[in-house]
Amino acid sequence: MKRNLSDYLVALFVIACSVVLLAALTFALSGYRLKKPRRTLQINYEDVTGIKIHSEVRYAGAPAGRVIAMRHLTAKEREASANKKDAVRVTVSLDEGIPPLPTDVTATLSSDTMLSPKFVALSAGTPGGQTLANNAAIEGHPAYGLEQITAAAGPLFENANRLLDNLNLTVKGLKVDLDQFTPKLGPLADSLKLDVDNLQNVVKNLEGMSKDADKVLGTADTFISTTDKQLQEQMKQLHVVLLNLKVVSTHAKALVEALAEKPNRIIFSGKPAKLTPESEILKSSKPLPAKKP
Amino acid sequence: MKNYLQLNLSLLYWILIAPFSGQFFKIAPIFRQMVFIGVRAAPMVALTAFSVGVTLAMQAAHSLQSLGAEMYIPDLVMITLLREMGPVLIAVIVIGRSGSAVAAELGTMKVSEEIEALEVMAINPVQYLVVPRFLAMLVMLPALTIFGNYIGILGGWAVCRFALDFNTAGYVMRALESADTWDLYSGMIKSVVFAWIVITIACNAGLNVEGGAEGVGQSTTASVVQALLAMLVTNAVLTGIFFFSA
Repeated sequence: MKRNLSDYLVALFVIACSVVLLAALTFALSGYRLKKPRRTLQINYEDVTGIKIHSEVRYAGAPAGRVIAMRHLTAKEREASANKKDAVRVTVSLDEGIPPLPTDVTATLSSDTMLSPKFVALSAGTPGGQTLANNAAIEGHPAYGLEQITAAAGPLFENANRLLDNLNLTVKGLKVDLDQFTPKLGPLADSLKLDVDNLQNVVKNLEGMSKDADKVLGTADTFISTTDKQLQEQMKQLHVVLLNLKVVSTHAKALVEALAEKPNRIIFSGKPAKLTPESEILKSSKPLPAKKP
Repeated sequence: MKNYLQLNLSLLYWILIAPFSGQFFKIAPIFRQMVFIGVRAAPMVALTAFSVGVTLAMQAAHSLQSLGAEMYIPDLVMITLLREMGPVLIAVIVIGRSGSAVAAELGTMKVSEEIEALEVMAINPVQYLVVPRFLAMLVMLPALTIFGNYIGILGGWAVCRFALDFNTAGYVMRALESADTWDLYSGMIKSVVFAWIVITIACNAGLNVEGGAEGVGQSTTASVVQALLAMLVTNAVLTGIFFFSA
């Protein structure tokens, strides 16, 4: 009886523990939350590949919540949507500590690396403006993964192929033209060679002429410098003559005046006239009277 | 094969029909068998599951680190344990420890003519000997599987935490996010089916022993081999049904 009791107790304890463990694991895997989220945000996406229930939500890169629901939009909802391509509505719960989201917040799908699981990435938005209400719906932007990039690159590659085909045709045509043109290049090259020879002769002649011209110019330069020196000396002499002439002509006026007044003064001397000094005559740029008043 | 089918039909009768006609099976032997089959196998199951969890994490780390995808180690450990390794390896342990013991015990009773003695006393050997073991196995193998799953996840955590510097919360979150309830329950369904297969093969081998002590040994060995093969083939079939045909 004692053994039966211990067997009962041990077996029941193990069964009870197993049931509890099974329930706990079921609860954890189901993602059910006892506490309902207070703050939610609805995001409409064209495509949510890689996102599932419990996927992470990050606000400005930091963990901010979880995806709690996903459903397809009805035909009416799609028609009413701003973006007609939106097909899936993702509901995310936001943690208590997350500040109110600005209205210009954007929701994209992102991942840390190519192999990492995707998450809903909410941008920081601009603070100070209006904020989104609880359970507000915003437009989500699809993730541009390798598949999308590859799909987008498809037409590009097609165009590139067409371009290459056209280039190939052009090159072929060019080759044909060149084949036709090449034989004509021989005579042209010969005549060009003759022209080049002639041109070389002309250049040689020009070089000779240039040397001669240099000689002439050298001679002319020597001539000019010699002449210039001589001219400068003569100009100095002329300057002296002119200065003397300036004084003489001024004093000559006094002589003329005296002769005009009394011609006998040539024979009979009189009171000597006080003539303008030579230094004043030379300084003055205007004609001066011969006598000082 | 005929004996095996007869045993199964007989079991179904004694479990599902006989109680409604007043022929109840006794509860005490069931609990005794639960302790023998399940509780005493727990340390071995724990050690096996922990080793499996550790090995899975290390093997996954070796391959995934080269891709920079270590974050998927908890996923791999969790899903592999819940879907496959948990039910299968724990069933293997139970086959080796408890299945063989049941086959040997019943075989010894058969060669020592205890079963004939029960029949002489108008006690049905299936009702008296097989039903308690069957019900005990049907309860304890899934229970051991749940227990083993936890221990295996703990083994994976040990590697991730101490060798790969994983955050404990991050490991748990990744592990729980990766699997869903169907992964758990598909493993539990497998475990129940394995329990049925293991105990019926063991009991059938024990009840059909011939040739004395030598026959008991041969029958025990045969029961282990047959149970292992049947379990592995059934596992493949169930995996195909659960995860491949859908």
